[in-house]
Amino acid sequence: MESASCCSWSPILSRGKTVQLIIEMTINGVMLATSMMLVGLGFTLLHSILRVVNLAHGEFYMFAAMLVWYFMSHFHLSYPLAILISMVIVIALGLLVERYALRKFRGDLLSGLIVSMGLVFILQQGSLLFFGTETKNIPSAFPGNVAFAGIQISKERVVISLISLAIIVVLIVFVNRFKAGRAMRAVAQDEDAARLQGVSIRYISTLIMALACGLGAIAGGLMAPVFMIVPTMGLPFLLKTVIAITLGGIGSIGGAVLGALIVGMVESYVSTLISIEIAYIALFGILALILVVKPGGFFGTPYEYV
Amino acid sequence: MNQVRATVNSNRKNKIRVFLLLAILLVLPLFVRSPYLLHVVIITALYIILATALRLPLITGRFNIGVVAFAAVGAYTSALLALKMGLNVWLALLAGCAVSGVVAFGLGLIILRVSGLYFGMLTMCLLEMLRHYLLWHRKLTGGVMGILNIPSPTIWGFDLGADKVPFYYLTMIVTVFSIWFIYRIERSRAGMAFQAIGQSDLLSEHLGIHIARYRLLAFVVSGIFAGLMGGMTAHYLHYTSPEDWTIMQSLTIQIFMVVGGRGSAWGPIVGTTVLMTLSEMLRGSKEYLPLVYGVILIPVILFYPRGLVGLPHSISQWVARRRQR
Amino acid sequence: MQAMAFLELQCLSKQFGGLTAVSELDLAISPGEIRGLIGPNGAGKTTVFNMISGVYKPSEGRVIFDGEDITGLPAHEVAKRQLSRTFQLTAVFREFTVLRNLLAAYHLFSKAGFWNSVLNTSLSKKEEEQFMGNALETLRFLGIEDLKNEIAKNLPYGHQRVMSLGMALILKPKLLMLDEPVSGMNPQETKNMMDRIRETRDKKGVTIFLVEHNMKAVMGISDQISVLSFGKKIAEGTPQEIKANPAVIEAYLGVEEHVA
Repeated sequence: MESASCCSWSPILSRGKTVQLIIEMTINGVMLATSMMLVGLGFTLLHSILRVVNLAHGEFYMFAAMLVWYFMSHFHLSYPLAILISMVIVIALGLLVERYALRKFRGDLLSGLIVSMGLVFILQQGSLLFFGTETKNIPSAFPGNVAFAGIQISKERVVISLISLAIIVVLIVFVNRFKAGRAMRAVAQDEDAARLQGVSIRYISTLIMALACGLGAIAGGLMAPVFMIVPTMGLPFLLKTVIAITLGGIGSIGGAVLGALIVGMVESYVSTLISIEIAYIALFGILALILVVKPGGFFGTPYEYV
Repeated sequence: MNQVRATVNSNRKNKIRVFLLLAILLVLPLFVRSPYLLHVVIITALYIILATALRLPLITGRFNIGVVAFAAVGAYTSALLALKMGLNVWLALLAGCAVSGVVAFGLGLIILRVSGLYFGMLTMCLLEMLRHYLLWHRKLTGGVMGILNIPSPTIWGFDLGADKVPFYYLTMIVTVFSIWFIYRIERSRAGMAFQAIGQSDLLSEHLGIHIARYRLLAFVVSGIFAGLMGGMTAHYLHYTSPEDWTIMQSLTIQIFMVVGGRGSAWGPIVGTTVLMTLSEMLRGSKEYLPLVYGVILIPVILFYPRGLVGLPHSISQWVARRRQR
Repeated sequence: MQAMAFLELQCLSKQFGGLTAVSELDLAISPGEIRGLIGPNGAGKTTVFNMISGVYKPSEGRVIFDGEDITGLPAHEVAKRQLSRTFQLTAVFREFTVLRNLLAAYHLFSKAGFWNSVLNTSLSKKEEEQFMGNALETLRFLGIEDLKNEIAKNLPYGHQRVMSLGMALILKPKLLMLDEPVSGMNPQETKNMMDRIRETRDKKGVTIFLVEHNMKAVMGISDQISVLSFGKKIAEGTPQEIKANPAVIEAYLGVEEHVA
């Protein structure tokens, strides 16, 4: 949990409490990291294959969380059902956006970015107006702790992390093994060559957008019980994800995973031990350091220029 | 069509437009008495400075989306120097510009190497980080409450901020100067280098243009003028806080610039003026304003990528085509 | 006849990950020579150019130009040393007019400095007028003066090529590298271009290093030809020797070419 609590760094902390704290921070960090991986992978897919930088990607994440709250509080749907429906809606929304706004700007990154800027405004303000300004939160779906070797571990965090990781593994396998996945990679490398091989760009665009939105929606749904749901939560989350991607190397899936882990851990540890504001400064500091030392990120390729 | 004559003609037309505009601005307070409207004009002018400053790095292919961060640096630096150290407001303003310039320089060295659009998002991260810092370092910055009682600039004891009219003229001078200076940079050899880099990294380098250096130059200049805008804003409102410098505001400036036309020096001016006027008309339903901005932006990008400044040209072409039928 | 080598490549290699594009290339060009570089597609010719002009850092080996080791220098430093080049996929400033394209090439010669230029002082104005005059003269030399106000992206590739040659010439190169200067040109344009190239060497003493697939053109203009295949040099000599070389013929087997 993004607590601003500054814990008392008393050296007399019993060993058990220290271990407890470390375990908590680590699991928290993993949970944050996996949700960033979900959103980040979607973002990377859009960027590397559709050649679109979608500033509004965080808004899909936020919108999904909003919808889950909405269906649970107004229609009394169960948590899994609410997630499912919100996924469908977000994917549909994403496909609409892709078809009518983003597709025209394939390759023109700047215009695509600007369009997504407009989307941020529309989705954010729209959510505020539609869902109202009252605070929204959802009771935890997996409340309570599990005791393990004398340490209390939050059930919720573990479940979220595991589900997210499972999805990511499935995604990676899909991209590497299955035909559609190979088609995606082909389009990422050389669009014209892929077209010549019979790959339908329209089909791939639709698939990618659906995938990216679906991932973002799941992340939003999973994280909905953890944080307070506000219309402004989209961009800051996306920006952290961007730091993770840049750290790991733009365009590299493994890099996104590693970057997300680093960002998640740093955020969790620093915000618990010091303060959340310092966490952000620390994140950017790490990014700056990496960029100086390894300009392309961990796994990225720096410019071949001398 | 004789292109050379067309250029000379359009230069002359431009000069006339500028002259007319300056004349209008000069006598505006005689006709516009309402302090509230003058306030809107001042704020619009300050936004124009920011939107114009934004264009330079954009030409080189680096979209400084988080430009408001540099304005915040200028604002806080200037405010703190004037308030806590008693520095003369004019000097404080200059110091604000200098500090934002230096910050832009240092950061630019590190992040300008990241490719164009991720760079833009990194500048937004920068903004977020700065805001978090401002919120955290409460002793220095007043945290979420911000800094109050920021003094106005004075000339020989005459307080320029006491009444709207004097500050209006000050703002106009600063804004016109900023626009002029940035325009002159665009037309200089450096500006040509900016445009070259924006079109082809490869070719520019092979013509001897040091890409990293020129990108840094554009970024630093935009940082300096953003800092100027920030300082002016702080001393005008006598108040500044992290809430004045948010991501959404930064994105709003981008929208102003894009709707106006990112390819032309007039673009930010036209876009900001039009959209600020619109926002004034919608004063009653402020909550819908961001929505309106977003809704306007998308058709503009889709159908009028050159922005509002391209509109007269498109219209005259459309008219010419209809006449041909 | 063995003059001091003007451009020397020593054991030059380039690897991209697991792929070796160029392998242990030794090459020496004399001043005032016109050297052709040929080879089947994918032989690594453009990679060689890229290593010389500063686009890539060689994995191994050295590049010595006019006595100076320029290995690994970035492109703008190479340009400063009067080594310029054109590109296979024509690089021009698409949104600029032809004239402005050439004016941009005067970047290195502008002595006015930042403030003079921004404030448009008479020093800067005079300089720009001079550049303008020189640029128009270059356009005249290339025969495309009447295109001066056309926007580059509207021109057919042939004219863009000629323009990019002009820009490379403005840098007052001692060595000029041309990457497929006549590809996509009809016979008349080809002859024009080759004449200009020859004139550049004859009248201005510029050493020429060119890559070209048009065999008639490259055989007709080169003093010496080096042949690359799969990243390795397989032959070097006069056009007559190369035409008869069995290794060269074998490398090209199956590929249709115009051999005069």
